[in-house]
Amino acid sequence: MKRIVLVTGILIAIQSSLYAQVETDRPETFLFEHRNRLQDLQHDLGNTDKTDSSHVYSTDTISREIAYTTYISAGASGFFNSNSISNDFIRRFRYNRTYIDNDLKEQEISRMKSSNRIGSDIKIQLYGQHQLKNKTRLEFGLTYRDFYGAQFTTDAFKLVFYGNTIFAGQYADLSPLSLHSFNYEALYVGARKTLDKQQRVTAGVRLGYIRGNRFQHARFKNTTLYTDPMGSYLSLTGDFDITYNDDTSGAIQRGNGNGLYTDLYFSVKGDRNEFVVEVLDLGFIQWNGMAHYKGNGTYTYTGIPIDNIFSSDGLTVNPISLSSFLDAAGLEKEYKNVTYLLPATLHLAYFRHINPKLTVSAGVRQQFISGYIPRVYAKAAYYIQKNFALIPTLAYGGFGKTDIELGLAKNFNQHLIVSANLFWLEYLAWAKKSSGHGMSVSMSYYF
Amino acid sequence: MRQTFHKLLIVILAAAVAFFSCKREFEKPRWDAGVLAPLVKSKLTIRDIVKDTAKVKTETDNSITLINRQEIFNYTIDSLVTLDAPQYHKLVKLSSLKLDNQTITRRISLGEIANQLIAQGGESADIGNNIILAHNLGKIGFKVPIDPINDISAGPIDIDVNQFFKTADLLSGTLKVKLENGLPLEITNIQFSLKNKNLGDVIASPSLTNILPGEKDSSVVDLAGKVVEGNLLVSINDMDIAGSNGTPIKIDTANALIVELSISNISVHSATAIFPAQDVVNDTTDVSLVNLDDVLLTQAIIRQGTVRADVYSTAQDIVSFTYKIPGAIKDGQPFQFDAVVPAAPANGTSYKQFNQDFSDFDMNLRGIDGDTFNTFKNILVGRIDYTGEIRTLSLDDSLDITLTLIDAKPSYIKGYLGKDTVAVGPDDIDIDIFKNISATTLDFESVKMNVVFDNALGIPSQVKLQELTARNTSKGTSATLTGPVINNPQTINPGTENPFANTTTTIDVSTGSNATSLLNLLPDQIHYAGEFASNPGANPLPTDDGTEPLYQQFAKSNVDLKAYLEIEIPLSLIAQNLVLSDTVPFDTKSFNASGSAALKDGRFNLLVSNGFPYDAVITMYFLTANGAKLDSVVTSATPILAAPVDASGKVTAPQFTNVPFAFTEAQLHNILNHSTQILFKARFDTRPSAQHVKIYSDYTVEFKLVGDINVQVNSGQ
Repeated sequence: MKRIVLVTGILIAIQSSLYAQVETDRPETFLFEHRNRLQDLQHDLGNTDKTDSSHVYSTDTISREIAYTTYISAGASGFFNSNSISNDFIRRFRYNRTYIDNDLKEQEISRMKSSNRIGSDIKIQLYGQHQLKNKTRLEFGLTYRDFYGAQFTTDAFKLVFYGNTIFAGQYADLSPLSLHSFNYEALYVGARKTLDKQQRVTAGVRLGYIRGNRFQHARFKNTTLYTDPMGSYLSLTGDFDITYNDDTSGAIQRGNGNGLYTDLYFSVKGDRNEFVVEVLDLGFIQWNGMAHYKGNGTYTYTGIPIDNIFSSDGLTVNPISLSSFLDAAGLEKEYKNVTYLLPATLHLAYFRHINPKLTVSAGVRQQFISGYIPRVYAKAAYYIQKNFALIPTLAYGGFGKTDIELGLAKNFNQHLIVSANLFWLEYLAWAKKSSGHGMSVSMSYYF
Repeated sequence: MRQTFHKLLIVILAAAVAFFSCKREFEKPRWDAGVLAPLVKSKLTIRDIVKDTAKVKTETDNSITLINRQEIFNYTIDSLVTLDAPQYHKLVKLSSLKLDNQTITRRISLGEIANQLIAQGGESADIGNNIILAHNLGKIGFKVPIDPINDISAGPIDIDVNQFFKTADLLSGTLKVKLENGLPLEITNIQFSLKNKNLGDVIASPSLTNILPGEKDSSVVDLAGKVVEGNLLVSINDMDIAGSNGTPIKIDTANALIVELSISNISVHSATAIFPAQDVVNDTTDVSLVNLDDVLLTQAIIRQGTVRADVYSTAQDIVSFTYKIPGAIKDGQPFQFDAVVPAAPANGTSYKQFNQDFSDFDMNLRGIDGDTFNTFKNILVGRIDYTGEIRTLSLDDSLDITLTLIDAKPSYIKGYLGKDTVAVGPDDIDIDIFKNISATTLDFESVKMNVVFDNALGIPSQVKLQELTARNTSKGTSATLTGPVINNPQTINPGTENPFANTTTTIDVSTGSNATSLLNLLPDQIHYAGEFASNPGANPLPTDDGTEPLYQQFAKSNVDLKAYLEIEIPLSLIAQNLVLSDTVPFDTKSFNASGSAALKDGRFNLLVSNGFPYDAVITMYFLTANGAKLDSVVTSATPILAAPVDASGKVTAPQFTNVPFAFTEAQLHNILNHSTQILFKARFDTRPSAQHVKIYSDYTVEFKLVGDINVQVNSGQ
């Protein structure tokens, strides 16, 4: 088992498109805060000696929370999802980094919609919780996050992977096109408090500081790119803006921005039911010294002017970058500070304990970023043992379409919980015809 | 359990570290894409093609004339004169040595005389004893009558004048000996002598008579030619004293003769003395500049130069001296410098060198009396200062002074600047207006060739062009100018001083000559020979006042007389196979370093909008750093067509041509990785072919290089 955990951890660390949510529906919660309390009742009824366990269960309420002082957790998660880009393309483009041939391009084009979505979200988190007085728990943690979300047209895909030659004498339709990509580190503290004596109502809030690193943002509205049949000029027409920081190298980059955010949490528990509302990543980052282009109209690129090839300076061949293209088209690059909201997430989840062996859950998650549609899901936690659960998930939405996931959670000695959520089935079985894959793992220890 | 937890925590932390450290993407996916886009564009006018825009002149009708102006001769103020002055050497002995007037008083008491009489013995001793006796009686209140006393002699008595000099060899001076009779009796006669104590010679032997008690008398002695020591002896050789005629008088041996010696107006040949402050050298002379031939200068302003003084002194005293050129003025002050030469050791010499900047002084070169040329007055004054110490000085002591005017150059000269004849050449000049141009047929419609003299010097001059030959050294062709200018002296007008202005004299060598045929050779070298003469006219009149116009000639530094060969070629020509070539640097470092995309095969389209009435074929040779040819691009398959012209020969509209050229991946790789320079060759044929076509300033040719190429994105990453 240790060997498996080691391999899994390294895989998570190296791969960049994995999936999990360090949220209320993560697998380990089915053995902790959302554990099946019917098991406790059965346990209590069948066991006259209530002190044979190292943990004492409350019997004056059906909630029967685990009594613990401190809880620490380390986890990593990541996913990639799309409504059009296949897992096969991602594997070859992102993981294997091989040559993208025309067959693969055509395969992807055949899957394209009028509006295509793609996104990935990678998080690594260290989390801690400590019991204070008055049923209040102090929360604290450290997070690294790398987020990418985009919406694009088929023409935009063709433009990137085939070039503009195929558009000679034609307009390439680029709208809707948006891209939002960033990474940051965050440090947060918060509190979670049980509001009633029966411990049925819990609310929490976190406040975090963000150090922003990479930032790329692009938005194109009603935008086309026209290529002259002889290639004499390219003409970009539309309403668009592009913002990015030039320094994008390295995983740990210099800070390019600062921000604040908050997470809000509220749950109500009944005898067999539980309802949770979370608002995550409600905040902003002010990005400093970003390169910024903004245009609304028609911008024509006719080549990089050179003064005089006969001058003593001679002729210099420079690579033509997006920047030099936009500059030559008459767009002025400016450097400015910009503030962007984080893509906040609203998550509603409902849990029902059917019997001591089975808890089901359903929920909906909306991330407020273009290209993301509400993601609805249904989960079932089947307790093979009281301390070991299998949690299959069926979901639809988000950046992708229908997804199947399988969660595992195991409690060792009622102190250590190890869990994983595997979103691999489609990737392994139907890579060319499916989109979306990811994984999460976490280890938690409480005492 | 705890151990397991720790291990797992370490795994998680290691995984997190591995995530960050492995995030860098060592490889990127690759794919092929086709790019159809303009790469670079350029717009060229004739001013871009002819790199040196100073050589392009736009005429009033906007037509273009090429101008080539190259200096062939330069005549400056330094060519005219050098301000050489002979070294001014002066060995001056001290012209005078004076001593201050001095007075010394010596009191000779009656007791001193009595004692010396007693010492003489005999009758003199009696007189001495009687004087002592009378003195003793007088002390107790007795008076005694004194009989006349004759033939008294006394001495020698020391007189010390060392406080003034140890010894002095007098050229002139007087000694006044004054005697005051402090005795109670009349001195009817006194003769005494003054002599050097060591040498023993008598300096003076004055005699006085009938000096009543309390009265004074004096005698003056000429000291010229005498040597006086600081230790003198005075002797009373014969003194007669009248008696009291029986009247008792009181005798007191404290009564005395007071001798006062005054020396005055002393001029010495040498002396060991305390010398008063005095000038010991004072010399005023004229110094004339040399090597000026027939140049007669009245004024010069010094641009640079230094006056150096080398001074040797044998005087055993500090000698201060002042050197002055009163006719050299700067900021209202004459040139002057003061210097001090240290005292020489006994029988030795001291030396000192002094340097003084002489720049920016305005020199009057008319001499002391203002009636000559090239001459300036200089004054040397040497002096010693009072020190209060005894020194030995002699008129044989000397100051040996050498004054040198070092590296003096004028910034301005005025006067008659002399006749001079200078050979101009024979020499060759390279001309680059036709550099990198060749042609099978080239016919300029017209050309102008001038020799232009730009004269800022106020000298009338004359030039004679003896030969002018154009050479095309690569072809080995040449042509020599013929026409009325050859060997015909041409006058060059002088510049004016008030107001100061150049005069330009243009000598047209193309009219009536074969100048066009010289330039049709596309020469790269001009060979010339000639003669330049300044002041070719008459000599100035032998006048002294310097007002004759010929003396008003001037020259300034930083301005000069220059001659240029000026070629003007209106760009109206017939050309066949006219080839311009040039090599420019080719820098691909930035492109290669970017690694963003690798160019594969494809083609370039050179879109040309030609506004010139020339057909053109462009060839680009890609060269390595050592000039080896790597590859080439030739547009000969699709020549760039000439713009059409109207009946007046003017272009009506630009002509568009698309010149495609394909390449392989290997070719591109070779060029981008190994080429560092490009040799451009542009071959032109004028259209219409048999008509002179004119080039106008608004003619342009626009190039746009469009890439229709396949690239591999992220290749090599």
